[in-house]
Amino acid sequence: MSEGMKQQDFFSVNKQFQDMFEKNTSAWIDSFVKSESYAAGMGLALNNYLSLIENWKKNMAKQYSNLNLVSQEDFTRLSRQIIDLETKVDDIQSLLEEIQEGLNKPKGRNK
Amino acid sequence: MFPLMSDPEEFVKKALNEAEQDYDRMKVLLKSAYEEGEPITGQTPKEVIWTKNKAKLYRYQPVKENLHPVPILLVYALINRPYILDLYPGMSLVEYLVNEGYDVYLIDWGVPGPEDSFMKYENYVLDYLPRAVSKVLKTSGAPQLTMLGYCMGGTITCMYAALEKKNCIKNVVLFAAPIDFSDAGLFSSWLRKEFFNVDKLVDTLGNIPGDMIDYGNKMLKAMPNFYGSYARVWEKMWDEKAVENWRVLNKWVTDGIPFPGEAFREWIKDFYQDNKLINKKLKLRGRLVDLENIKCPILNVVAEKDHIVLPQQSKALEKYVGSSKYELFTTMAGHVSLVVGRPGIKVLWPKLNSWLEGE
Repeated sequence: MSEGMKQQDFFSVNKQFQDMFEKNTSAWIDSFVKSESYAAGMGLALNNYLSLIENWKKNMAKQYSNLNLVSQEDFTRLSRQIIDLETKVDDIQSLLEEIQEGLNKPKGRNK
Repeated sequence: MFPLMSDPEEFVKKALNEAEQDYDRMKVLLKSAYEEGEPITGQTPKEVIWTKNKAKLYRYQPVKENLHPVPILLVYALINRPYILDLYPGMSLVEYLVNEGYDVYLIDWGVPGPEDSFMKYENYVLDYLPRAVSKVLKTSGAPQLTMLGYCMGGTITCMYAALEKKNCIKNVVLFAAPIDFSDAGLFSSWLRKEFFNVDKLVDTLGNIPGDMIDYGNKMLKAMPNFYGSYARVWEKMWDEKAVENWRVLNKWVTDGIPFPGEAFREWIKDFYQDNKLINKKLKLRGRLVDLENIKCPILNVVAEKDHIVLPQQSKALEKYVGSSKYELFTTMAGHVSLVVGRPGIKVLWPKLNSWLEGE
């Protein structure tokens, strides 16, 4: 048996196979995701998924409403109101700070 | 006999050796899975000095008495966690800057809930950043600051710098910031109007789940991300340091947060599909974002092997800004290794330090 053949043990061949598999699969996937059909297919799959979710959400909202239960939408609305309130308080606070800074400035500078 | 098993004795020896290595690997794997838990990121000591909604402004505790006179405000992408710039001791840009004597601040955007799906870029650029900047200046006592934006944080920084009128920015530093979206590689193909219905996505889901963003980013290099990364770490599994580093990086790349719905809609339509920033058509609350208004010195860092933000997307900035002091710095790094890998630690961080000292 030749020297080169002897070095070809099972484990190194297995490793070579894995590397080759990774390289070739990677090249195939890369060329596939670059294609227009992939972009179109993903867009279509996403649209279908979203349609399902949309229907499910609508049905759930109806169920909650029929049962007089609070839905996530209600919590979201409430949380938004709190955020809006916080924003208003923030605005007032920064306005007050500006006024205070103006008052703290030495009078000479304003002239 | 099958040539690969021509020497049965040698075969058995190697099989035993392989089994021993697998045993060691399993030991490390089980230890890291059940004993060590998640790596603790963001360890540099800090305090919260301002909050708004879910956003927080951190000031990192200085370790030197004489600080550099210009504080640094770090701005990262809306889809990341705040710890990415303070990943792990020895892999933390924040830690490096603090040790070099800088007064470092970071704005943490927080994790948006369903109630934040209305958040747009105008909220971040015109409501959050001005207050954070003002707080940084007040806390540090400095008249101006350096803004450092990473990835989408760089785009946000540019928008803020273009609209800011109080002259409070001394320098702008950008790491892998997407500016020109005319050729964004695979994203340009996947996000085309005829294929990608962003309106339906946002109207249905509100915020875009972090996993969905993560999947999109991973598909850019599917095999290395979904298989190669795990295969490599399996090979090095008995090297505890390598495994620890991998776990930390893996936490970063798999720990995305939801993208606020309206901001995502803008990101896709105004940036990827219509390239409004470059075409001078981007308006925030009716104000035109003109990059030419950025007059301060700029250090634009570009990762040449970046597949998420392609180098040409960042390099384009030079043609559009009004700064007379613009420096482009390129390094052979990827999107993540730019900040926490060897190219970041050995090349970029010292470069950033010397550039800031020069300014």
